[in-house]
Amino acid sequence: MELDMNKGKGWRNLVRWLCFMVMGISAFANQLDTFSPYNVVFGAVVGLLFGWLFRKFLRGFLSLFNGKFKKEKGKEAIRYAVDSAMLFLTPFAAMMFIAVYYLNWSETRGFVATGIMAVGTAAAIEIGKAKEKQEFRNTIATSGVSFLFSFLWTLSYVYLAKVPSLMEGGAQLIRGILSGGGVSL
Amino acid sequence: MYGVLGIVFSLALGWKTSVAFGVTGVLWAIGPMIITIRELTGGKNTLSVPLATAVGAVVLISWSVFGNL
Repeated sequence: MELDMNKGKGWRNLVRWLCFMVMGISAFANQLDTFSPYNVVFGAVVGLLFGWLFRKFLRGFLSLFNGKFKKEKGKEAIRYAVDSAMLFLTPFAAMMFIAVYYLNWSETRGFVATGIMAVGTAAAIEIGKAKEKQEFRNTIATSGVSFLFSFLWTLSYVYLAKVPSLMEGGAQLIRGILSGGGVSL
Repeated sequence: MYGVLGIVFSLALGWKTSVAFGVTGVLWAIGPMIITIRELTGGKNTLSVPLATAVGAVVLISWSVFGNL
């Protein structure tokens, strides 16, 4: 029986966007004001951008390593494998949200790293299922991309975490200038 | 691996390692657990993803409880 790859496509996209948004919001949450709009908006945007880039790279590398399969089944088959694998980010996004908003933990990089690596493994398994043959090169490709993005998140987080407070400071400065009240210290 | 290292650091240095080592180990173990749940549910994402999410949440909260003992 032929698999309908478009069935549930909207749900898969929605879950993926929500997961990356939740991960971004949780990662950049301010411990003193957990629902600060600057942190929430910045976190959601960074999470979505990161997710978009990660998905592009994962699809790109899998297409590169499975050229013949892509020609036979079309790029939809690669997209379906990657999008199905991305669903497995849900447990990590939920755990990260609980850790930040219920347990008040501030160190969240481990959640992102393990979630991304789990998606990489799942993508290799999904493509293997579609081809009815598990291949080592796919595991290497997806693990490599996942490791790269996990490393990128860990490295960039240190610098990006400073941005929401800068945004808040900038907004206060502009408000102060516009209201003619000068800069509040 | 994380369990053994956690016990060593806890016994040798007196560190409270249940969260630092335990949760890190649990997070890395969640990946294979998700794959197992998916296989056991016949590859149905609509069942395996919510189930894996619930399992992950319970495991995380139970570890935080252990860490506070």
